[in-house]
Amino acid sequence: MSAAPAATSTTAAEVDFRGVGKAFPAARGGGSEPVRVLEDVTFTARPGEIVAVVGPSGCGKSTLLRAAAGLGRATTGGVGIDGSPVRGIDPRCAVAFQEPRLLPWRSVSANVSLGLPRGLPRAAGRQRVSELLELVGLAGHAGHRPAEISGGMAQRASLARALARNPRVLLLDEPFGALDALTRLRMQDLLLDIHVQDPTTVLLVTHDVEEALYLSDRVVVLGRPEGTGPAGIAEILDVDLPRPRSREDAALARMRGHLLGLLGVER
Amino acid sequence: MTHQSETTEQGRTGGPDPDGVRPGGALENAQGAAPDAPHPTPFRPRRGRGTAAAGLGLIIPVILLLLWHTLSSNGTFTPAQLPEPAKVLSAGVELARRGDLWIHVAISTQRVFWGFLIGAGLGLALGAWIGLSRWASMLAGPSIGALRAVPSLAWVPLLLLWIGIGENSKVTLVAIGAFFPVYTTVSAALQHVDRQWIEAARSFGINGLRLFTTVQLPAVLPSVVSGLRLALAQGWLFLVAAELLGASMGLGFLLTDSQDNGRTDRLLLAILLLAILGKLTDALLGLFERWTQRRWGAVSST
Ligand SMILES: Nc1ncnc2c1ncn2[C@@H]1O[C@H](COP(=O)(O)OP(=O)(O)O)[C@@H](O)[C@H]1O
Ligand SMILES: [Mg+2]
Repeated sequence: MSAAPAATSTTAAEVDFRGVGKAFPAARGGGSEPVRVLEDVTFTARPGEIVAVVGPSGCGKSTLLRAAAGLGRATTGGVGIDGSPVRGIDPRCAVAFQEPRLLPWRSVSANVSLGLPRGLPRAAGRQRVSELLELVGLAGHAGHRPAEISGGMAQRASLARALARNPRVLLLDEPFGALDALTRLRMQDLLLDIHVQDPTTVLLVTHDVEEALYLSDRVVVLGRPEGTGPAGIAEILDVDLPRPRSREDAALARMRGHLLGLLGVER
Repeated sequence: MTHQSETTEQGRTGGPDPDGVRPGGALENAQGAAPDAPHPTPFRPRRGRGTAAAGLGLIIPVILLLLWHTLSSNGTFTPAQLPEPAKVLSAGVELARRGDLWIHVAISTQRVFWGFLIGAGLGLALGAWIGLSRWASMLAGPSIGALRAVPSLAWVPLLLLWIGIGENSKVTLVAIGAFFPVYTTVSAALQHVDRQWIEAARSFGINGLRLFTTVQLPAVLPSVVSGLRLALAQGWLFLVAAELLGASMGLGFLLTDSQDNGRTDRLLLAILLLAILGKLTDALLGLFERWTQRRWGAVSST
């Protein structure tokens, strides 16, 4: 590993979900009842922690993350970062979306530079971008357009763009979901490397139970108690193992079985 | 002469794209760049391919010219129906010598220039307003749509009544013709910019004018350019309509005047000149398009 990037002297923040509930207005033509997606989600991610959020598809994981990012407001309750509430898009957070969402007409480095904080001097910005590209292994592709790189590279660029913001909270929405198995494992290790170098708070939404267990300090399981209606927290699982972990760890395997059971998958 | 520089032939303008990859870098690869470096797609069209395309595009005009010559000289058509190409050429030379030709060409070009500038400018502004603001779109979209539904030539009597038969009414008609293609393509393209790109940019604190120049403008540029090209073609169309309806100068006037005097040679000359002028002005927009592609990369909006 090369030396840690210079400009990463951030302090990780605490993220506090307080009774977060979200209802969307009824779909056009549908019933008049708002669709309740989340209800009373309460947990706290401590500074520097990696917290995974798992749950069945459509249960509101992205909605929860968007509430933390300020991209979508909670209907009830709210999210606090270091004690101050999130109102609107929050400069303390950076999001890596499920899709890389790179601008196709910009080079990889120009895309990463979109994440730089406002007011950073040009030279410092360029320096930071090249450090980040080095970190995610894209230094040789800085000048390429998104159409010229692979899906895994695009995800790494998206991650670098989020890191460019020097976030105190890194919000990752299924960032590796679309990647092939091998690339996914590499990206997980990359994320751990980055976290060692720059231990911000990470909220990681994933549908991959093994990924959650391999990476996180705690796993928040979302589920719908009655099978229908809004989702809430089914369980918060502490993963008390030091990192890096072995993917074959017996304790992890037990927790995996437990989580899959919670998510309704028979073993 | 061993030092013939090849790099000057690459046509690299000092664009703001230091990472751009030069097309045709076979030599460089041979000189030991990383052998497994991925192959970048060249975003700039190759110069050689451009000349080949131009040569290919000349084939049909030449065939048409030969066909025209044959049909007019072997008696298939009478000279009054279809004069020989040489006759048309000499009609052109004669008009040029008298100075009339340049006046017709200049006045028509000038009308199209101003009309296009005004119409396309308004189309850009209104299209951007409607495309960026949902509120504006609900407020003004239907009204502009209704105006668009009026066949634009239907405005002619009203224009003559209000503005008179002078330059202004012709420029206005060209402007009307140029306005709608730009307005329609720009507003529609802006409304269809990928919401995910906008959201991603906003999540990094990019807002307002910076959001527009970072995401929306580059995303819609290809549509804007094609809207401008349509508008220009429409501008020439409306110019001829305006000049047919009442003018004492211009290529449209040359058309009617030649028809009245049975000068088919001049009539064909006017048509040829319209084709050449239309193509030339379109080529200017093509240069602009190339510039936007160099600046932003050749990318369509979805
Ligand atoms: N903007 C929206 N309007 C209406 N319903 C939405 C909207 N966004 C998400 N939903 C609904 O909320 C539910 C949860 O969505 P999401 O948070 O994306 O789930 P997940 O990320 O867990 O798959 C889904 O049923 C989805 O249809
Ligand atoms: Mg989701």
